[in-house]
Order: sequence, then C-alpha cells, then structure tokens
Amino acid sequence: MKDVAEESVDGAAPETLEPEAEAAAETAEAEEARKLLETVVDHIRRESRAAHITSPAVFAEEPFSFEEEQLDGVWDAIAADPQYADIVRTADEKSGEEFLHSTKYLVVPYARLLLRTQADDPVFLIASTVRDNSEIYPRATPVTFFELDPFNLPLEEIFAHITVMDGLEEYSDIKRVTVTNGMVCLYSDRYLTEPRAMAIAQWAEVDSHLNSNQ
Amino acid sequence: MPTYGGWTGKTLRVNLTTRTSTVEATLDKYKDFWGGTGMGYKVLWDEAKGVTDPFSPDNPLIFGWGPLTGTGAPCGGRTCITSLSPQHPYAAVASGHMGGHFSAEAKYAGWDGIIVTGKASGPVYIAIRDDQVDIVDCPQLWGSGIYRATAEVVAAMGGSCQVAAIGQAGENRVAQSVIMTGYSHSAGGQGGVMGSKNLKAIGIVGTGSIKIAASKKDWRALVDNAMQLVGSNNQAVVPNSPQPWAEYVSSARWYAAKGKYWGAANPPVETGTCDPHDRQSVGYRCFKSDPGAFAEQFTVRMDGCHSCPVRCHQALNVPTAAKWGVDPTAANTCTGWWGRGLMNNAKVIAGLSTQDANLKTLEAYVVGKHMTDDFGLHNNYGTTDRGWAFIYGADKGVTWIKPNVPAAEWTTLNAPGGLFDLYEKGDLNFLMAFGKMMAYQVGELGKFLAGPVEAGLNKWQTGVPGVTTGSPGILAAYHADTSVLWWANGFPKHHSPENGGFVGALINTGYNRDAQNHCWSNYLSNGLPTAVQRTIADAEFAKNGYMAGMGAAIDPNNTCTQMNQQKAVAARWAIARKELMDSTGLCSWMWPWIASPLKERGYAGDIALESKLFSAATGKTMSTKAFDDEGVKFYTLQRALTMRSFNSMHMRVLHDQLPPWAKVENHAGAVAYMGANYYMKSADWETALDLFYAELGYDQATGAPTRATLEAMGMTDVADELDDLGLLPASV
Ligand code: SF4
Repeated sequence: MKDVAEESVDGAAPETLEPEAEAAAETAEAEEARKLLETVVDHIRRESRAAHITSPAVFAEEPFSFEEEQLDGVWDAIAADPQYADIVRTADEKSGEEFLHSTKYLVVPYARLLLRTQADDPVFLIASTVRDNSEIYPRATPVTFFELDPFNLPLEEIFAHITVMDGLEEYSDIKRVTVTNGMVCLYSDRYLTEPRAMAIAQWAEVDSHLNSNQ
Repeated sequence: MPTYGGWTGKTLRVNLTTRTSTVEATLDKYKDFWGGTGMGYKVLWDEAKGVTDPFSPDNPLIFGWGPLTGTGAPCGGRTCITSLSPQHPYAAVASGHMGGHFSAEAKYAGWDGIIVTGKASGPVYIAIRDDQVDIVDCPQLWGSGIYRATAEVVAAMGGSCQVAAIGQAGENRVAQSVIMTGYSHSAGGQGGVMGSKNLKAIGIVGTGSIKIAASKKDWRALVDNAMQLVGSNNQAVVPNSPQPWAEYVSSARWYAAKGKYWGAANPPVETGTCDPHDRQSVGYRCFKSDPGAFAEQFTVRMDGCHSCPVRCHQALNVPTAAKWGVDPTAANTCTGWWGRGLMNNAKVIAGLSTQDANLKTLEAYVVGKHMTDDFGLHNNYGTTDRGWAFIYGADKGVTWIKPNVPAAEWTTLNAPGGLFDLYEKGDLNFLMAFGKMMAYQVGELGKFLAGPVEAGLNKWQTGVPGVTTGSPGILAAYHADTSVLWWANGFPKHHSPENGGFVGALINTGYNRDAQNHCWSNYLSNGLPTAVQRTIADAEFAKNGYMAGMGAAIDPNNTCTQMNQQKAVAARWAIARKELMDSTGLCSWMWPWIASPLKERGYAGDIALESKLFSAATGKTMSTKAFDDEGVKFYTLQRALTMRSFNSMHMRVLHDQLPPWAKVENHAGAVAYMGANYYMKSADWETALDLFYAELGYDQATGAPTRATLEAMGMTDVADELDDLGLLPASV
C-alpha cells in the first residue's frame, strides 16, 4: 500500500493512518453519512405523516445545519436505494421549486394540492384543480370542494376568486354549470362539453342522493 | 350426499294453519339452490303453482340466508325474504332484504332457512330456541307497532334474541310494508304477506356455531385478504375529501376525514384520515350522514349488520325530537330516513333561524324514521312520497290524476288538524298522522297509498280527456308521462339506465320490483376515474374467464353509450352476482369487490373472492365462472316464476320494456350517446335485449329461457312444467 504521505505536495507533515485506523475512519464516516441520511428521511416521513411537505432548504438550517456536500450525498443515496423509493420530489407548478415528501404517507397529487394552497394564488389553485378533475375523472368540481381541507377557503372568497377568474384570458376554459339544487360546479371545456359536465355534476350533486344506493 | 361446511343442513318449515313445524334436510331438497333467494324461488316454484293472491295462505313466505351467513365472512349479515309480491300487479315473485343479526342468529340456532306457510287462526309469533320451535299466541301484540312487538318478544325469549316483526301496516296487508329486525333493518314489500298469515313476529335464540370446511388458518387468511380489499359503503374506494394518502378524491361514500366527528359519542370520536392499510379504520370510513353535515354533532356512532366492518347505519341522538312524542335516539340509513321527505321542507322551516331550521329538519328525520319503522311502512324508493305528492297535487288541482274519492274525505283532510292542515303548517305531527292513514288504510286515499300503484291508479279517474276510471288508458297515460320515473311493472327508477346506461337498464328488466342490484352501480360509483375503472375491469374479468375488453361495458353515471357485447356480459354477470349474494348471505350493497382502495394493486379488487369464500366455507370447490353460472340458474328460476305469474312467455313485450322516460325519442332536442344523458334509442334497446337474451341462453323472440337452457341448468322439471302450461318457447 502506498503511503499517502509520500504524495504530499505542500510540504506539510502528512497525516499517516494505520490501515485499521483508516478503516475505522471510513466506518465512522459511513456511519455519519448513514445517520445523516436517516435523519433526513425520518424528518421527511414524519412531516409527510403529518400531511406536510418539506423544503430541502430546511436541512441547511437549524436544527440540522447540514452542509450542501453532505446533503448531495443524501440525495444520491435516496435515489440509489429502493428502500427510500417513497421519498420523492414534487415541484411547485408556478415557481418550479421542489419539495420532498414520502408517498407512503403523502401522495404526489396531494402534494400538488398543498403546493397550490401555499402558492398564494387562489385563482390558480381553483383553476388548476378544476382542470385536473375535468381531465382525470372526468368530473365537474362543486365550489364547496374548495371549502375542504387543505384549501379551507370560505365560500364567499371562492366566489370572489371565480369572479376574478372570469376576467382572465388564461382561465377562459373554466366554465360553470348550476345543478338543480343550486350547487355551482366548475369544469374546463378543454376536457368536458357543457352538456356532459351538467350530466355528471347533476348526478354527483343531486341525483345520486335521490337515487339512494340503499 | 357429501357433508359440507357452511350449511347447518336443516331448514325449518312452519305450517301456521296446522300449528306444526317440521325439519327438512337442506342439502337434499335445496342443494341446487343454496339458500336465500335461490331457496325462496325453489320453494315458490314447487309450492305456489296457481297462487295469484299474495295474501293467500298458500303463498309461502321464505326467510333465507346462505352458507356464508354466520361464518364471519365480511358483510355477511343479510336476510332475503321471498314470496309472491303484493306490490306487483300480477303478484309476481319478489324479495325484500334486511340486514341486522337475524340471519346469523338463525344459523347459530341451526337453521339454513325458515319457510312459513298457511295462516294461523289468530295472531301468533314463532319462538325458536335452537331446535325448539313454538308457535305462541299473541293477541296482545296485534295492533302494536314493531318496536313494542320486538321488545315484548325479546322480553319473553331473552336478551340475545333476534326478532323479525311487522307493524300495523303489515297486519293490515299494506302492500308498501316491511318486515323489520333490529329496529332499523327492513325488508320491503313482504310485511303484508306476513300479516296475512297472522304472524306478528319470529324470535330466534341460537347457541350453536357454524362448521367451516377449510382449516382455521386458510379461512383466516381468506378473510384477512378480504379485509385488505374492503373499502367503504358500496365498496367506495376513494375518499370524498382530499386526504394525504389518497391519489384520488370523489363524491363516493367514504366520508371519514380529519375534523369529522361522531359528535354525540362520549367522548366524541374523530373519524380521521383512514389509510386503507389500517383495517382498524374500516368502521370509521362510512360516516354517511344522510341528514347532512349538521347531523354529525348528533351522531353517536355508526351501526350495521352482523360481521360487517363497514357500518352504514347512522345512530343519532337528537334530544329535542322528544317533543314530538318519539324516542330522540334513532338509527337508519338512506331511504330508511324517508319519512321527512313527505313534508315540504320550505313549510317545515318557514320563519325559523338557520340553527332552528336545521334542528327541526333533523327532528323530522327522527320522527319520520320512527313513524315508518314502527308502523312498518315501506317507502319503496319514492313510491309512497309520490303517492302523497299525487294526493296533495290533486287537492290543489296541479296533477292530472284526480282521485275518485268521496268529497267528505277531502273535507276531513283540509279541516283544522287534518293532514293537509298539518302539512301546510310544517307541523311534524303530520308524519304520524300520515303513517296512521297509510298503515290502517284509512279512506280511499289511505287505500291508494297502501296498495300497489297500478291497482290504485286503476281506481282513479283522470283529467286526461277520454280516459275513464279503471280503463287501461289511465295506466298507459301514466306510464307515458316521462316525468313519472317508473318501470312498467310499477316500480320506481333506481339504479337503472342512470347507472350504467344499457347495463343498468338490462339489470332492471330482470325483476318485479326495483332490482336491488348494486353489483354494477357500486362499481360505477366507487370514485375511481373512469379510465382506471375500465383498466381494472379489462383485467379482472379476463382473469376470471370473461371476454376481453370488459372496460367497454362502463358508462359513467348519468351517461350512456351505444350497446355492445361487453354490456350484455356485464348485465348477466351483475344479475348472477346479485342472486349469489342473496343466496349465500353476503351484502349486495357491498359485494362484489371489482376494485379496492389499494394503490399498489392499481386499485384492483378481486371478483373471485366470493367464490373463494364459498368454496372454503362449504368445501364445495367452485371456479368464479362456475359460481356465476349458478347465479344465472337462480335468476332463471325467478324468470320462470315470473312467466308463470304473468301466464305468458312473452317477457320481451310484457316485462322487459324500456320505460318512456329512458327513450331519447321522448326528450325533445336530446341526443343519445354523446355523454350528456342516459337516454337510449328504442331500436337499440331491442338490440340490447337480443344480446342479453343470447348471453342468458333465452329465446330472443319471447325473452323466455329455452328448454335447452333449462335442461343444461338441471331444471328439466321446470322446462316440463312450463311446457305443460304452454309457456315454453318452441325449440328452434
Ligand atoms: S354495508 Fe350496511 S347493509 Fe351492508 S352489511 Fe354492512 S351495515 Fe349491513
């Protein structure tokens, strides 16, 4: 084995380690990296369990105060190890900023809803969620949907945001139907025609209850 | 005869005329029909030949369950009560279904079913304590409501006793009446048949157990597997509010959520976000508050049937309801809360603050529930409400049907304190007064409400020029009215074309009341995106021997696309499964589980679960396909019974017709198959029937099963009898 001291170029007294000590140092380093990894993963999972997403930036701050290099190692380890496959990053659709969460407790679509609620742009929140619902299920979204957690918007505010939305060209695809119990439901005409939105909304909001499944 | 698990091996027969009881060997007599509706159809086929009066002593009343009852199979607490139906214009066969603990107790007492025939000379109840069966005179209970009758029988037989009883409505042979167990689980339509036999109640105490063929370990594993795949009520697999674990959100019946409490529990219980992997949370998921969110604070808990983890009955405590003279506690579900719907809510809450209005509305739920459940009345999915609406509308001159009743009757109803007066004032005393009129068939209007709709309408005159009282014209006019959402044989729209287009409509042709079939409607309403539902259906059905591409059978609720082969297969499958649930003892409001709440399974359930449970419990191993074929056999016997009641083989024209409101031609401006409505073209309905009959092995011209089909199902005797009666289609 080469003596690392021989390759010292700055003339300083080289650190010399016996093989056992070197191995011990490597083990300690690995142990430290493992602890760091576990701290990060534990934190993300715990937060996800409490329905929170995690900004990677928190790990550079108190109480963690991890170095950027250390964290790079953590991200690489998470990506490489299948036991951390639940740890994912979801990007804020507006800022592009990424947030961490464990899909074991908090799935990507919910993370997206949380990010939209954090974006401080309720019109965007409402429109993008309505588009998702129109595309995915497909269905029209009752305005009361945004009263639910994690949105927690008061109904008057929801209507105020919809009024603002009406004046914005970028949301011109968002339309509304009113079903027979007076519920206003929103849909995107990129994915649903008005008659179809009406039929689906009428079922969900009124007819399914009248046609009681029991 | 091999020995099987699941069944007790004994069926109880009680002849009320002779006051005798006998024991039949279930697997000798009913081995091909298992139990529940299957057994009921077999008894009726053998014994009700020539019976046209549902209130005749010769109309057998069959309380049935099945080999899975009492085994601990999830959602396995249902009872089916089958007879010739007073609600049907030709008294054709129908079943009512109730949950609770009655069937499990009966199994533990050693019985696979109870067949009641004849008529007692005076009011009696049947007391069953394991093998001991007594017919007990009970004149003191005749005239009492279900609550008192139940309490008295329990008091006489002991605290673990389960009771099925009728109220005054059943005693007075009201067609729209129920048999009830556990104060809130009701089987609709059969109360009058029980009353016609002078049978007030059946009480059961069972102290035995059920033998299961499989090892404890295998059985446990199977039940555990089922518990992993269970969702919420109606097998909803997606919560109806955003939750961190859930990829999807829906309007399905998975209501548990953070901050949603059983508010009247002590201490209040938060239902919370129920991760589907946590089986301890299953009982919280269905917090189905039918009276609305306001009722959550009055909710003590959710209640339900034997061995059901889902619990779809809401137990309320609304102290202020006591001022209307009823118990402030009440439990029920869905249309079980129907009483309050009789009243006009605007009148009920007129002049009240929001808080008081909410409270009075909730009180109406409680009073309405007690009214219907104590008198033993059946809403029949809106039939009774519509009956009242006709009467009210006729009085106010707003409906075209003009009841032909004495003027004095209108005067009484309009007098101070009369029914109309209470209704106009939004006085909840209206509800008890209404119940009394219906349960006792007071006056012509009481008789109309109590009777089968067709017969009632026949007696009425109409505002339609040229149509006279009692003429077929009034029925024709009634059925042609597209605002009247009925099927031709007098039952209401309920999970028909609005749930699955052609599939829903075909399912509804099959029965003589609303089909009570949720196999398909549950799947469409489970909350998953349509694309996911289609992917799962493709895989699950193909895996179990069905044709490829079954996802093509799926139309989202309230929409309809063109008929195809897959839809005929789906309708056959759903009809088979309904009969199988009813004949094994499983809850058709939950099973089958095509989907599950598990993301890691791509939300797939397992449509083989029931056949696996059946095979493990009984030891009679059966593939899913073979299991389903048995269900079709049971259904086909029901079809033969229906033909016998109609005295016709021409089911296609007499029975299976699409009602006017479902035909696109009757809706000006509507376009079919564009995803905007569930209407279909009349010509396509005929194609749908052709495909459906072909799937069932029925004759296309008549819609009747052929001799070859009946013989292949082992029912040569049925084919012979139909032949003798001239009801068998000619062989081709
Ligand atoms: S889902 Fe409801 S009706 Fe069905 S078994 Fe459970 S409690 Fe009874």
